[in-house]
Amino acid sequence: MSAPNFVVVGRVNKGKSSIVATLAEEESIPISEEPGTTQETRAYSVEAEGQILFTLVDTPGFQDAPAALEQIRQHRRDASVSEAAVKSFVDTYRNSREFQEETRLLAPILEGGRILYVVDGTIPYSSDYEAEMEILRWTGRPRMALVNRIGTGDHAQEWKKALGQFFGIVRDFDANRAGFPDRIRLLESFRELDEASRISLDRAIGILKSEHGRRRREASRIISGLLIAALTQRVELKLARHERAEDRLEEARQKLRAELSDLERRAHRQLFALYRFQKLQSSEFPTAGLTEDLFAEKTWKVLGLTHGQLLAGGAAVGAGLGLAIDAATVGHTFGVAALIGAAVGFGTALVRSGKTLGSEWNVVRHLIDGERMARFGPLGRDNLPWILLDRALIYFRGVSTRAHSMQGPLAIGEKDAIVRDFPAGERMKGSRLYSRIARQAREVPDDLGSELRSWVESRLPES
Amino acid sequence: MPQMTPLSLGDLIDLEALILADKEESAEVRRSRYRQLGRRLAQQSPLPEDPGALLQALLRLDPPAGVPGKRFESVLRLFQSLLAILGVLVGGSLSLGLLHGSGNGENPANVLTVLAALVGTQLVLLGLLLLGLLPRGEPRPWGPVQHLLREGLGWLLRRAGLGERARAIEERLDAHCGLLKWILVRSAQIFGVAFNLSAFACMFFRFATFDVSFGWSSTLGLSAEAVHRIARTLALPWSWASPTLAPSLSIVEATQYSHLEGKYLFHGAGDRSLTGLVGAWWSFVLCALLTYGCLPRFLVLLISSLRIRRILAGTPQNNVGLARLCEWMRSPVVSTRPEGPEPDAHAVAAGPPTAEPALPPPGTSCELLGDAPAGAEQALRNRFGWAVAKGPDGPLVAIVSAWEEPTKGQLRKLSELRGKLTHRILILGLLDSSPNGAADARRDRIRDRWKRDLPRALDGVQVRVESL
Repeated sequence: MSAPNFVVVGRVNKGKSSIVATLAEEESIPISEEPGTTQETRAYSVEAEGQILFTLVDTPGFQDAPAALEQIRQHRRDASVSEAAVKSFVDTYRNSREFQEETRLLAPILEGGRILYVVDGTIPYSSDYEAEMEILRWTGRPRMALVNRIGTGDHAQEWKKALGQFFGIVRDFDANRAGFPDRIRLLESFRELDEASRISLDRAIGILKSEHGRRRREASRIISGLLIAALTQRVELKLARHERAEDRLEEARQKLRAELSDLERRAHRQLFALYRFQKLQSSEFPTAGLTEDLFAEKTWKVLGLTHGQLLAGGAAVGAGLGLAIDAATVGHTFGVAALIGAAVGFGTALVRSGKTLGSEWNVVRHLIDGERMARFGPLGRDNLPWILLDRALIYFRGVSTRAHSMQGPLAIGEKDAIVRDFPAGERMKGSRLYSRIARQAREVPDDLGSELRSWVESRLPES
Repeated sequence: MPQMTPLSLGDLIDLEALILADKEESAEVRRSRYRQLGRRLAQQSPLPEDPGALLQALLRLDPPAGVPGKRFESVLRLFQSLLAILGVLVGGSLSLGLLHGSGNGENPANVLTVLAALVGTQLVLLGLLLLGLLPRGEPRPWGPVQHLLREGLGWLLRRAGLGERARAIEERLDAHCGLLKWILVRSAQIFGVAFNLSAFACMFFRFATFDVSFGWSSTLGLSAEAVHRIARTLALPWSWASPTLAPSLSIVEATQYSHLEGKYLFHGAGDRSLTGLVGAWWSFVLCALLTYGCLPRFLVLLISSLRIRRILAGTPQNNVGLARLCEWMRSPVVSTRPEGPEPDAHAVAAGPPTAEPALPPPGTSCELLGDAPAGAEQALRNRFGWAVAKGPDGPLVAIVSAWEEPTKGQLRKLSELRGKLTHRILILGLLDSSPNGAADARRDRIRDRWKRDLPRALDGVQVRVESL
């Protein structure tokens, strides 16, 4: 059972390399607005531990299809020898400077490749494409046409009408916007067209779906790990003989901030790597609209929960604790505990919200081997984890939905804020989890960490 | 929910050792390694769904160097055995010490001292332990007992050759729902149970083989009624079984003893004929030791053992590191491999801009080449005011799509016109047949490429590229 080869063909600058990059999740494929960037065919095999699932062959574009068709026609006595005529054409011009691109792109098709013919659905259809389509039809290989979208116009319907006469399946496929479901749908379409590749493609689809699930779980682990680190973050400073812990507050605050910013950066980098964006990762996080530091004032204004949502969350957490007391008394407290809890939770959130970040210090002095130590941290429990979650989810959505053909920086900004749109129940659940984690003395118990991870996974945007 | 295989403590230590050993490697390398192991396991039998069973299978296939799990378990068994032996020795000697000299009926053991030493101290320690197990807002250093136990265990681990890994493994164990804390609690309870059982056995032996006399005395001026109330309260958990298991007021009064006078104060107790009276405390003392010494320690031992078991059973699913390990073993590593050498970057040199000839004035007759698309004539009239007519002198106009990049084929066909263009100008009209025809950066880029490529293909010929 050999894995199917998809040969991606079409005229120059119609997004063939973009389609290969997106389908193969390979950002190293050269993509340029300059026509003819791809001069040689190059195969990209998508593998699962050494076993090829499918191969995508990037090819140079058609440069002179009408003349090539004319040449092939001379070898073609009738329809029964079309494939032989194409083969003969390729053999004739293989080492010639003439029809260089045509022979290069046809060779892998004649070696058993399946055709993915790419056109740009944003420009008007023109009959001079028919020579290319005719040549491809004469190869006799299974073929599908993809209507890509490079510009802003919409001529897809004209294209589909024309393509339908030459190709068994015609599909829309915007290489720069295609997400995981689009890629799977494309493979499923081909599976319908080509009986011979069905088993291989079923396997490939299964593996890709499982990889998709794994990435989401791993992303939720990365994000929940960051949240736990932020909620339990501490720094210990040794105090001199007459030094007060309060004298070291600013130093501790700077240390905590630097450490948290570093943790956040590392988490984002891990998300990038998880979705195979190594180039994006190595650049300086070009995040248009989200360049502000974690502790910048703007970040705190536009991300995380609103003031009202935080107050409601505080009240809900307090009410939840009160309800537990009411339940423990089998209703004998008539819900008074819940009411008191809600009031206390609301009040606490109100008091905290008036304070600036870093004023909520828990200073604990203790002796370690005879030294005076002061422990500071965490930085804040109210909005800080929500802001961290918001930023992480924004980055997650940015990379998990980004096609590998996309060039340039990751364009995300404040409009992408996510957590404010969480349903009230989810915000309450998150606040409760944060509160429970922040109470942990040392390591967060596995089961609590697991609960947070599951919750984060359930809140991940679609990818 | 399906039954999950719990890990043993040794398994968990081994897994932690595996994780520690390769934590410096990149996630990709580790993932690839564990997937290889997963595949090797799958060749032997289908991978179990149960994460605990899968992790155990992994350990069988790839045990960590030095099998630290087994050594940790051995050390822990030794540690707990030593604690049990210590408990037996301390408990036995304390109880025998407290009853020392009370077997002749003349120097009775003070019940209050016995209760304070064997029951009171333990209740205080138990209270402190329960307080220590309550969730706390802020991390605090280990308590003195736990600190002592941890140091003792750590010392044994280092002696057993676990060396540097000992501290790291201890810290990792703490991450599993405070597993190390529960191990230390359990160890302390083993000591406690041994202590109490030994104290109980030695006391019973003493009661059975000697004529032990009890009394009570206090410089605090406690009345017999007060001591009786204390005794009745302490005896509440078992006095329902038999009234004789709790001392009556008359016994309490009869056994008040003065060390100054060296005698019982009432009823002439201390007389050999009243041994039943002075010895009536023994059942109360044994019951108190059982109820307040043995039973709570057994209970805490049971709870800590169950807690450890529960943590070990839940760890494979709940622990992030182990869950990831299972996933790595199960999920194939998907990657993309480019074949062949990386192609050279192809760049077309820009070259100096070519000077374009002037546009013929409006009213000029031009010749339209080939099968011009519909609308071409109209576009030429509108744009330049030219009329289309065949003639030998006017400009030749070739129409191509404004949306198509110049191809070799098109350039070749245009270059074939060279013979016709010795004294004529070639105008390449880029026709946009789309209905909106709005400004588009891409169309401008395509025009620029025609302007770059066409003069090169038709070197020496006057050419001009115009959008229509």
